[in-house]
Amino acid sequence: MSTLAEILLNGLSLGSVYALIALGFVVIFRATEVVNFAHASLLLAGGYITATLHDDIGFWPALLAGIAGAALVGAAVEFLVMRRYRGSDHSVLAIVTIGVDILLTTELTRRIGTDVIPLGDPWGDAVLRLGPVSLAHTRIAAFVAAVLLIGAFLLAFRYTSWGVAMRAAAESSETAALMGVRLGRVSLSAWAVAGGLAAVAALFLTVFPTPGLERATSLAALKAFPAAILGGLDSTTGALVGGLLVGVTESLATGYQSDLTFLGRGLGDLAPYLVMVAILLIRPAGLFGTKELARV
Amino acid sequence: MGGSGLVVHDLSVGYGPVRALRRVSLEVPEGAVVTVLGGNGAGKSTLLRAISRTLSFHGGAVTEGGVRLGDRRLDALPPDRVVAAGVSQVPEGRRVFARMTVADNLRAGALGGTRPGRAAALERVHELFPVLAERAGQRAGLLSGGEQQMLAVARALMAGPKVLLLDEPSLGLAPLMARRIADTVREINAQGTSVLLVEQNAALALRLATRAYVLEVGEVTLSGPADELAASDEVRRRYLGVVDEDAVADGEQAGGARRTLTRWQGGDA
Repeated sequence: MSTLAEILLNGLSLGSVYALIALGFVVIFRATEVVNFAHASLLLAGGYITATLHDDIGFWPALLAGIAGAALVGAAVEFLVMRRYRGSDHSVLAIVTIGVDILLTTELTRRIGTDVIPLGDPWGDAVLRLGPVSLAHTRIAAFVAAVLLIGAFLLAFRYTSWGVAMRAAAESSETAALMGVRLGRVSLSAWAVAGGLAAVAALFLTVFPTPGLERATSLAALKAFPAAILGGLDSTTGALVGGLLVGVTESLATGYQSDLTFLGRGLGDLAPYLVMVAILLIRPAGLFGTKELARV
Repeated sequence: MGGSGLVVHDLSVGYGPVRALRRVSLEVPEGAVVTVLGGNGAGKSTLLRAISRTLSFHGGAVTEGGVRLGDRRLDALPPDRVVAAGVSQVPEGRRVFARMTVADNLRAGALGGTRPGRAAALERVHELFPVLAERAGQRAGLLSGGEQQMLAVARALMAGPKVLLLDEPSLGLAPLMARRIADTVREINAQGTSVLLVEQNAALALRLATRAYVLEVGEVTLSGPADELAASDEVRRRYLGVVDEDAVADGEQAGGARRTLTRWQGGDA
């Protein structure tokens, strides 16, 4: 029996993974103002690399390879595709990312086929019991890893020159260029960072209780879209809050599925989008989206 | 002239089919303050964009001529390399990074400069604008207009430029604040930075500059030493009519009724 506490804890863990994905999404949007629809395919690429390598080189090196690989794929997409369209309308670029997504996802799903590939994580199906609450080790690992990564990212964003350049470019790319910020580098690093974060998210989307990496994994990744959008596309805080909100909502909807059968099945997949629509009705810019900050 | 002067020669710029600059040549000798005067749409900002290589953000391109700093050609470089070469711009309308703190704005300005120069640059900037040190942790968007202009100038100085390009620094500022900015420009110049000042406030600009160019519909129509231009009828009539204190004083001497009349005549021309 799952209790409310369990549902909430699982939701938080799941939400922190969504937050990782949404954060990458937001980073690309802030650096380049492009909505990256290819994000799910970056995630799939990272997961696939980890899944195919872990038998030969062990889990941790494989995970690192997955992160590096997804970062490289992200950087390659920026360098080979997005860069050629720089200066084009941002909605054109967004559509280009849909094309990239279709290409990458098609190739990856062809390779994965109908298999369900485990990623060889060390946590297995172990469960931690604290009184009435039982929690899978994988969920705890997911939460800890997400918190550490997000924390490191936010610190870098706030205190390093890279972060200053990113934020300056996000506010005004032209002014940033006038200050000597290399916009090409900013955009390249944004795609690489987003790829790396997505690869970590891929791991935690495919560990217990999920059987492993499969074609549908990229669909699970899509739930980070409502997370990023309801948080406000250009806000890192928004990505975190949005991720957690989506995770908890999904967890609640799935956990209380049996009480909600009159609404039909599969509510857990639908709930994040309902929350997104509800929030956008009240706050069209998302929870933390840019409000003009100006002195009158 | 000077070995590291900024030279613009025969520069033509177009935004698609629209020609914004036509064979503009001008020179900012080392250590000088040079001003470019002109009304709205004369091509002043276009000139600065061409120097800083940010025309592409506006769909513009250089069609002929070029820009040199000393012996170095700037007209094939990306914007960040122009900054690294020693030319920084304070864009029109200040354009501070409103959501970032004052300190981070200054850091952003230093991204284009050399690493060892940063601490010294920050010290210099805080000396010029002590208020920026006081407000280091505040968001730039919450500063007053004058403070934002100071921040914009300070940010550009963080890269340690040899030539500072200023686009309408007095725009939208109270006269007192505009005068303070003018004093600052003088001080920056005294510390060895050449200045190319683009202004609509001709009286202010001509007092600061040693040499002036008048830009009209994309062409240089007048140029010469600033004091000569300030004395020329043409410039007085066109650009000093409304804002020049001397002209106002002249008018006052001539009596109240005459003053209104001369000022309006100047404005209409």
